[in-house]
Amino acid sequence: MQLFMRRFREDRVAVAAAAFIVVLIAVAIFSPLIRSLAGAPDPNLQNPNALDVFGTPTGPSSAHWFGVDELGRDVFSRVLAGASVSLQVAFIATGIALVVGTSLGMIAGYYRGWADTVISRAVDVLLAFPILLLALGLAAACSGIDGCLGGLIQPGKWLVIFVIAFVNWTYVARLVRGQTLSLREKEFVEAARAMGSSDRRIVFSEILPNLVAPIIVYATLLIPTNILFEAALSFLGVGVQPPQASWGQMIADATSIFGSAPWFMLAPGIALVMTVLAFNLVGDGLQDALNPRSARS
Amino acid sequence: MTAYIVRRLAWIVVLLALVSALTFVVFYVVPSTDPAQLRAGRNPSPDLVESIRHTYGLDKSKPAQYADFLERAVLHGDLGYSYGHDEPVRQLIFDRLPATIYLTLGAVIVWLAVAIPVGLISAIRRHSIFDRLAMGIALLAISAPVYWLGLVCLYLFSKDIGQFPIFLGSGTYVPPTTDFGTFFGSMIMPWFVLAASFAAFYARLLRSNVLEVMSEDYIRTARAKGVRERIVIRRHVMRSAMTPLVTVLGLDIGVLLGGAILAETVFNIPGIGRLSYEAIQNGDLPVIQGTVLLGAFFIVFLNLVVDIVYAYLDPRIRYS
Amino acid sequence: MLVIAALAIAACGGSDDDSGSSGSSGAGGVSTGGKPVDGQKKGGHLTVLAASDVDNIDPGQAYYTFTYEVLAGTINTLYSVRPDDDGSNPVPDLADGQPKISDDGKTVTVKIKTGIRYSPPYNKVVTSKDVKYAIERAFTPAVPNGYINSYFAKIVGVQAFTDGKAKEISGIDTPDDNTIVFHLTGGDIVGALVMPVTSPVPEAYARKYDEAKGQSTYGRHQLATGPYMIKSYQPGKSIEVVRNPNWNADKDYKPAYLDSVTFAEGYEDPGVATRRITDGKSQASGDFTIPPDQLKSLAQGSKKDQLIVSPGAGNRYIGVNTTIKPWGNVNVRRALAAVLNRQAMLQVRGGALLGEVANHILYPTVVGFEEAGGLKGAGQDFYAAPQGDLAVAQKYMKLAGYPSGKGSSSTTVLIVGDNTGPAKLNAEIVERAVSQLGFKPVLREVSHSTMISKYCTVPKAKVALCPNLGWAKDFADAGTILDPLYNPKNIVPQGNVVTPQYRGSGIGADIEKAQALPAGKERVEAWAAIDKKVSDLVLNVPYIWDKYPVVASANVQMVNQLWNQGSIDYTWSSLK
Repeated sequence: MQLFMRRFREDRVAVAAAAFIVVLIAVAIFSPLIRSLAGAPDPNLQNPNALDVFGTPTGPSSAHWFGVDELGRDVFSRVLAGASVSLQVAFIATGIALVVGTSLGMIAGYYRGWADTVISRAVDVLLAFPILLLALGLAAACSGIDGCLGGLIQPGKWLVIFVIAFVNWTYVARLVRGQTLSLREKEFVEAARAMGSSDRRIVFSEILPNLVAPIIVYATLLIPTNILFEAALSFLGVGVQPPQASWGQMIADATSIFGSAPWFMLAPGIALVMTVLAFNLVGDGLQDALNPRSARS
Repeated sequence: MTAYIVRRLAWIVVLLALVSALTFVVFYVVPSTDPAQLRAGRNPSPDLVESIRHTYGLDKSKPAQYADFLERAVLHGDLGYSYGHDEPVRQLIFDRLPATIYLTLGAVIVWLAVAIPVGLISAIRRHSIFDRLAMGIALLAISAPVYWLGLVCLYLFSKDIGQFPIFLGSGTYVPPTTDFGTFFGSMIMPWFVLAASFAAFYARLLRSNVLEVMSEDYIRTARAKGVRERIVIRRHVMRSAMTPLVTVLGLDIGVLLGGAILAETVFNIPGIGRLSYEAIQNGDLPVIQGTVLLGAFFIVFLNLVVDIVYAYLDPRIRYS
Repeated sequence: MLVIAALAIAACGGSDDDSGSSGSSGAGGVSTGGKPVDGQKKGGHLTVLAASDVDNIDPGQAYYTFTYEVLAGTINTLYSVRPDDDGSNPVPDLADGQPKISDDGKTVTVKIKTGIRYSPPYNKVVTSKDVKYAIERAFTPAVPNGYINSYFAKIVGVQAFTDGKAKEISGIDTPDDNTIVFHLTGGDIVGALVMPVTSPVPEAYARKYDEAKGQSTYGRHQLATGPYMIKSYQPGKSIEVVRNPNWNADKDYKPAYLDSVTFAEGYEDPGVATRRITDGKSQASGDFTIPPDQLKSLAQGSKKDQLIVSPGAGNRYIGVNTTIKPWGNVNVRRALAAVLNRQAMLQVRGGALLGEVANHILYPTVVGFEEAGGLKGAGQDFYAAPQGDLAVAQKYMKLAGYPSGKGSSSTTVLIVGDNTGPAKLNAEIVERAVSQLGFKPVLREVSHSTMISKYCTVPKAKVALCPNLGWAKDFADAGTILDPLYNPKNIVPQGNVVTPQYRGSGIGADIEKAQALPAGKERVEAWAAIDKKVSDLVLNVPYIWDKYPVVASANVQMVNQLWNQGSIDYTWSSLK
């Protein structure tokens, strides 16, 4: 672990990216404070006076650093507010997918037999789906007035999390199953079994610790992917609900007027790209640190 | 081999049936727009609504509706009739598929043409300025969503609103049979924008594959025997390093042929992606069902193709 | 006519929504109507770009603006409206002269022109029996029609016909081939004789299509009597009209300069379509709305002459469901009207170019608008401030029993709005207004067609507010707006447009009384009084009186139909 930290620290780019993420998380948590320090208006405040006589939004100014959107809302405030949604969705959805995927993958890989058949076939079916279409469909299906699953899931942030976790766990499960299958044949597992350890004990103390590294690597891949996933769903109009700001939704709103109001598309887009880039850089750094023999770097 | 392919094909059929069943559940459990209301026009008489419901088979139980669907789809290749468009689903798909195929194949050519040389050179000249620059740009390209990249490119380069009007902009797609010049011009930006993140991903993948292969023993041996570097790379490294790319390529093509929703949306290309997206928006179940099946078919079919190609590329693999 | 629905369903592809634009103050001299000019160049081909398809190409089923635009050149209704008329002065079209109305108003006799022939393959001469058949078929389930019950059910014998007790409608007489007589139970039918259902359909030809299983397929095989006929119709793709060889120019007032027109559908991005038209040749806009930023550059730039913005394109209102708490309370509704920033609602659609801030339901160009208060309205304080007035809103909240002037945040208010274009922005402004009242808004954004068909016309869906509704007259009579929107008799479980579902204050009786009045001053004033009443009770919250923009290429001498929301009139337009 120490070795790993040292190696990671030597990767200056990755460290800078990690620092950026820390700042981003702070921004997401303290966005109201930052906003008031910057003197920017509430992200949901509609200000028709910031539109011109034809209703087109006005560009960057001292009052609105990044300009305003079609409702006269401050783009700077909304970009700040979007950070929180983006991170929450990506972290929570990834977390759920990891927990579900790891549990099912270990069950399938360790017990094999019918449990493996059922889980593996389910994964096959889900993987055969066009993912974005499935997500769109689920989201649209749950976007009715009453939500879905008997009202348990309501349109909005939690629906997006549910949808992303639902299409994500399959990848994790497949990975973990494969690893578990090979781990369970390893000598130290055999040894534990010979010493009379229970299945539960073997799974939790022998197999799971050996899965941590590949799972972390995979999680670093999943988080930026899921940030993009949330943005794509919001871009297509089935993500978080208004008036909540989301980067993807802001880009969608900007689509119809980007010719005359390019700032409106630039600010959330750059925020999105930088965030995803930072996570990708950290992911690369972690992989290198965990796996020094890899030829990546 | 033949037995293996037959088995796989059979599994594909089962898989598609399961996919369609799941689609049916997801979209039917949640009541979509009532097609009878949609098609009957305003102030319809109850009789008419009833007769339309009957025409669509909506007066039957849900399982019976699914059985009907399967029967028609399997026996006649009939995917039903769209609620929203006044056309059979199969016709809609045939109309829209070419645009998606052109978009996908064009983008595939672009990204392979970029990724293979870049990936190779980066690996061979590891840590060079070229390598660092290329991999930096690649990571940036992977991080940029296609729809945003599309907007930025449109803002910069499209003929109608661009700051540097060079290429045809959004919504200028025409079939190549109508006007090849316009078609080609209108697809240049979509091809490059769609290809960007794939090119980046493939270049990174190829680079690390090449590096990995080059560190393997048999390559070292070849080198030690004094075989020239160029030949080592061409004979041994390329082949092993490209094999994993084939897998990913097959999967990506499969996914894209099922509809490049985001790229088609930004560039307003009338392909499968837009068709399915609109169908979801409007609760047009037969079209959703049809496009999901089509997408799933491409995915599983290309999976099979990949496995077969794999067997030829890598002589160690034998399916039985 | 559910205008917004029309245009919106048109736009369901996902791009923009409906309405349009322009004209008055801020616009800086944009034309409000292309006047017909005589002696234009003959010939040429025009392409009209449209987002989506006609609602139904059968003249007996057509009910949407764009469909009227297409059919305007192929059918002859008994009466029709010249392009520069707002709809109040119909002229004889298939009819020969003005209708003769008996002293009691209950018998209306119309002479029709002789020697009008149908297009191939039928080629025969039009008779009055064909008009009778056209109306009768619209009362059958095979030909669903959105307005027939509202305007033609007052003909004697309709009930017996629809019940299947009579083979024909006894109240329509055809004493000879050129005369048709309507016997009424009361009210007025003359205004409705401009509707497409009054264009002739020969039974001998159409019966086989009308009796096909399910919906009639006559639309696909229809005959023309006008200057043009439909050559091909590919749903969702294109409609082509070409000259009708059997048309007699001496018997029609339309000049028909163009040789042919293609309605090219599927232009889902209104920005792309607009640019293509303004930069190209021989094209014009169909069913879509020009996006605000392009409207702006057109109105300010050198292409100003290619833009026409017509007033009288309809109204826009928030549908308020009075059966849901707290909207049953008139003072809460007034508070909503008071707090709503109607100026912003207009601003995000494109500003003054696209309409005027509304303060009652009837809109300019509707007969009765002036009597109901005109542009000024009736002067209620809750409509007084276009930007919204929180103090007035709080006053009404107090009157409604909220002592603090604020509602409770535990009261959720379900709002269902559009998910694209300016309509989406309108919904979000309404959401904001509801939270300013102190309630907790829950806004669901869906496609326009879903909003209409699944939520806002379905009482069971229990939607409190529908911010993206609108209505346009079918003809000049105010009853074509107030009856469908407010008569409790029209409340139905599906396809309900009486959004308030309000049965109080004698509204129903008022409307029935007005409907029974013959055309004239008394009728107009009766409607104006009803408008005042529903606006005062805030049964819906009106926010915009719409103007609609159309564009054409520089080489098009554009003429538009003021009566039909400003759509392009291809029977009068020409190429320069």
